[in-house]
Amino acid sequence: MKQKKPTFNYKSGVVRINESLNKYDNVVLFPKKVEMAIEHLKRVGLPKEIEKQK
Amino acid sequence: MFLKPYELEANKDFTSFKFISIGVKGRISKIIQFIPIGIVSEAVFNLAFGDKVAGTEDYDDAIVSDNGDAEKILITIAHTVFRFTNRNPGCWIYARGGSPSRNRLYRMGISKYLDVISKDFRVMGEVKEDWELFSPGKNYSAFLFKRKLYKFEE
Repeated sequence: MKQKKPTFNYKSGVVRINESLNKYDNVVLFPKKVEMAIEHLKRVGLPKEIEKQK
Repeated sequence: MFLKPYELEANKDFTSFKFISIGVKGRISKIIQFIPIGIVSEAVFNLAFGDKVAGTEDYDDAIVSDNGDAEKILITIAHTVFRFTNRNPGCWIYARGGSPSRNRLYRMGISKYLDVISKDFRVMGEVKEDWELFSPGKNYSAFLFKRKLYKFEE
């Protein structure tokens, strides 16, 4: 029997608001990642043109 | 077969999400954070996530938890990107693994579900200092996602 390819949809997720997570609002938890991203985007920039994705 | 994400908890702005990974090594608390990068003309948010360091309040994105649920975690992250861009639809989401193996894992996950992801997002990959539309099977060192905006006629 042919097995169906697994998939997902965004409606299946559950998100609860947890007020205790507001303590991270002004905290960068992964500063090295952010530094890397800034350095990379300064060098490479953003895509100039977006073509249609199939 | 529909794959379900982990149940998520979020702050009021949907910039921080928390969930519990359940796998062969037990329960591991993880956090996902979207941080604005204000260096370019358009809004860009860095997507990063990591594991809670046992016995502390710290999170570490370099831990390889090996909990046997990588695919479910990637789907959970995809859900957070969707939720975040519901509130911030015009922004770019930047993601980059901390190592080539992490990038490979992300690339495989995106490739596997590109048909689903690309319904709602433009997906770009960076190769040789240039961005191109994501192509399955190709190696990229970073990824960008942008929510597709649909216009509905009245």
